[in-house]
Amino acid sequence: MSKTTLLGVYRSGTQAAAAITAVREKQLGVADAYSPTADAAILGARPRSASAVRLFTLLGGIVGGVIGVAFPAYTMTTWPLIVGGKPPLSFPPLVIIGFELMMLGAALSGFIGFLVMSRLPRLQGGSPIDRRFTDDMFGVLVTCEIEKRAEVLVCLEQSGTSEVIDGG
Amino acid sequence: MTLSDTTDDILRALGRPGAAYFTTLACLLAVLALGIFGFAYQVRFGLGVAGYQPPILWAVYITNFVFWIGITHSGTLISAVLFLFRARWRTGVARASEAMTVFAIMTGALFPIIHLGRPWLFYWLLPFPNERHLWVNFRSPIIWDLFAILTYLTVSIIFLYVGLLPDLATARDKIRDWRRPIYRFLSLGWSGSERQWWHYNSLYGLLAALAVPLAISVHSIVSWDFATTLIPGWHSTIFAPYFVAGAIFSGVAMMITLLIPMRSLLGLESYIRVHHFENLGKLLVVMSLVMSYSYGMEFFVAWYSGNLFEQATYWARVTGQYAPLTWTMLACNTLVPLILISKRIRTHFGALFSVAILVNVGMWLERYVIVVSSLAHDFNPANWTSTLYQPTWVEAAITAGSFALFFLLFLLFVKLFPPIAMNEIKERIEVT
Repeated sequence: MSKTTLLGVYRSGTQAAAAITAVREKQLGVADAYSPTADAAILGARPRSASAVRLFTLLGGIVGGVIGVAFPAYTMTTWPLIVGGKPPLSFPPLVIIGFELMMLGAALSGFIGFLVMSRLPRLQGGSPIDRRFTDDMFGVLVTCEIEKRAEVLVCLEQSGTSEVIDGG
Repeated sequence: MTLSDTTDDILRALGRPGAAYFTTLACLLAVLALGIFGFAYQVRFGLGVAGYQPPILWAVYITNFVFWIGITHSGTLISAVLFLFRARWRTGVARASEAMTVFAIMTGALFPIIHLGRPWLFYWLLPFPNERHLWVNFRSPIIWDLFAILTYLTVSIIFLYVGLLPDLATARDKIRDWRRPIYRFLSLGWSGSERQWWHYNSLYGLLAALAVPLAISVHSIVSWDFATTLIPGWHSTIFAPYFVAGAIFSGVAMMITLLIPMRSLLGLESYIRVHHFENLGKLLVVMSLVMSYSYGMEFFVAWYSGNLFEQATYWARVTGQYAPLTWTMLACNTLVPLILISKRIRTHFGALFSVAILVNVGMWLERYVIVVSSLAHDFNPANWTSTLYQPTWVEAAITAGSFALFFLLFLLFVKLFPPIAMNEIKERIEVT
């Protein structure tokens, strides 16, 4: 069955959220929203599971922390030089290096997770769908079956769209 | 105000700079060149040109290191802590504070290298496999510093960059000059999709949550450079919280120092408003009170401990050759900020700027007094030199150069990148 896309352009996030809700409730297709800001109405328009970025961050933190403890411990035991009367394998430095590398691992891994989950970077074909969506307008892109195009159009218009662009 | 107005206003700040901007830039470059010359001179003739004399073998460079790392804390405090507490007023100043954090770490991180006798061997600080199976000493606070600062720098850059990403996309779509390819590259193809915002919110919150304990750990570790030694005046258990409080205090003062000229230079008066400065002024007063308590506790602990060496060091600090610096520092950090209790003074830009400058001076002197006066009065009375340690022109040039580098990086940043988080401002605008 062939598909088509319709892009509704809105002045506010609330209108865009209403369009997403309408399309979703009537099961007319898949609606993606675009906005110049993290709009609470849009992000709350449909149920979502927690971002996987959290998992990336947790795993990165665990790996970083383990490396931060294991690596200094390894170097201390392979080069057991007593400095300042301290035992070669002493606990406090392991906590400090472990903590720092845990933070480093968590931040780097969280950032990588964000890029992966957000499907970034798109350096070549990643031009925005409409330049207004990074400035002052909100967009709802609906992908639907051609037969449902008219119904989707009604949904978008009833939500207060200022313009509908047919993506074909 | 509409969403479009916000975009236009903030991107206008990135427009062609005026004569004042270029003049400032030229002056900063000249001072930076002087600093580079001073460093080159030191590399050529050795660390002796820095005026070190036993027992004072840590001096201005370590003072600068601690000072600049301290400056980094306001970025985390203003941006991350206020974000976590959902304090709305942060939006006008968060971006500038995050940038300030990154540039202060970059500047501060240079000083341990400048302080090395052979700076070209700085990479020996890194633990890397080598044929002699030598490893760095992980029990040394210097190595803790390295890990803490590199981690803090990395996390701060990520925090700044993630916050910038949506605004870089806006700049990419609105600016039509030679900078556009830069914005296109740096914005990574950001389209503002719902999916991107969802993960963005999650990451930004996590980074803010990571940045706070990290910032506290970094300045605690810097304080342990001193506290883990046995030098009277350094060997103290209150050093970590004391340094963290001082760092926040000096960071807020530097924030005010930068923001007041920035708002008028870039025409951002509608976004960085009086209430921002009033809140920063309040923060300064609170931190000043914390610092007053810390100074009191330092002296109390020295007296109450019954340790003769501690007592002698602190007595020498307030009555000896470093007494003028100590009293100036105390006045700048404990008395001067108290005038900001008055709302009229707190909301007067000239007065607030003057207080911030005096706090900056006071906090630099505080680090200087801690580093130098403690070493000048160690366990051996023969070391209690009657000759006052004087920084040389090389140290002065490198110090001036570091300030120039910091201000230069900040000045370039605010003209190349949106100095205010547009997307966060837009979040607060009610669209009708």
